[in-house]
Amino acid sequence: MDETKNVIEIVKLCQKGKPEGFSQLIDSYSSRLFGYFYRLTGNRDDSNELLSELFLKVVEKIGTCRPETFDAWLFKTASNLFADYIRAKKRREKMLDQIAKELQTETQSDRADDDMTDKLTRQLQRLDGETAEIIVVRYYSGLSFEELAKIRNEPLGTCLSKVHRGLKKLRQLMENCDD
Amino acid sequence: MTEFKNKNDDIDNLLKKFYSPDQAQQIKTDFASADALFEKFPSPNPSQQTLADIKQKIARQLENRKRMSWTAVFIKTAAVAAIVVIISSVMLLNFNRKGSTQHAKDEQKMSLWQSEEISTFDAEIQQLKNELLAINLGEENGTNGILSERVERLELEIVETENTFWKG
Repeated sequence: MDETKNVIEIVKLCQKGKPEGFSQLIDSYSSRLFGYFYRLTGNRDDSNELLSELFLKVVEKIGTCRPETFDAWLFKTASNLFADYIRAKKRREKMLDQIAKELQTETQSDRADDDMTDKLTRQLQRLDGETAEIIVVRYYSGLSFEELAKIRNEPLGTCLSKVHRGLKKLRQLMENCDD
Repeated sequence: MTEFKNKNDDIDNLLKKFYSPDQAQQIKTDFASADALFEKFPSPNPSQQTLADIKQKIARQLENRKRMSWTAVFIKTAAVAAIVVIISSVMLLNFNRKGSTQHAKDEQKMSLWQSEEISTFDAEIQQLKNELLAINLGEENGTNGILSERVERLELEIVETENTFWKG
């Protein structure tokens, strides 16, 4: 409860345009948000870039959010940003494929190209994008299933069952991988 | 590295709504083991340098925004002042034009009056000239012109006086 109150106060400071508010926001949320991006991209540089982009977007749009539902708003924004990143990445890969075909050389996909990526992140990357995203956002956002269903615009039961199926699949992948 | 657990869920009640007790128990176990996986493989933290860069970028963005808002206020004030100046000039011009129009109208009226008066005088002088000419020519017999009017008026007064005398 105190933590929620604290977040509300911080958000109100940010809405007044106070730099110290944003500084506190970064200190409170950067680990969770970095974790969220890192699990989905498997790449530290991309995660750093996405984190930076997200906070700049927060500065721009914080006036539109209700302090009481800040966490949901923040992770919805992060999710939208990640969707944009995926779209851009697909375009880039398509373009690289075309260039590779033209040059008749081999190119490597930059998917999960961080050598230090851990086993869990690698297995998450083997799930389809939507399933991986719902598992990761549930874990890092700390949102309830009701809030999760709301930000995803889907019924509560659907959201619950997607997370459950995804987690089962992830556990199987973790058990079967050779790492 | 701290990992995060969902803090807002009453998971037992939620699962009861959608699943049988056995299924609900199984799902709860699956969720717990998934959380354990995340705790076993914690994600890295962003570097301090990244966070410092982000804070710096935000400070710059806020500064720009403040500067932009001052510029916007200045532009708006200048625009309002320009509009006020334009409106007052237009009003002043209209006022001057109205004043000169009124003056012209007065002058016109005056000249009209003067011209009417002069024409009346002209007509009377002309009539008098004609009557004088008629007298000189011996045409005046008391049946036309100013003299005839006076004669008629005198006769009427005499008749009226007589009537009043006899009535007492």
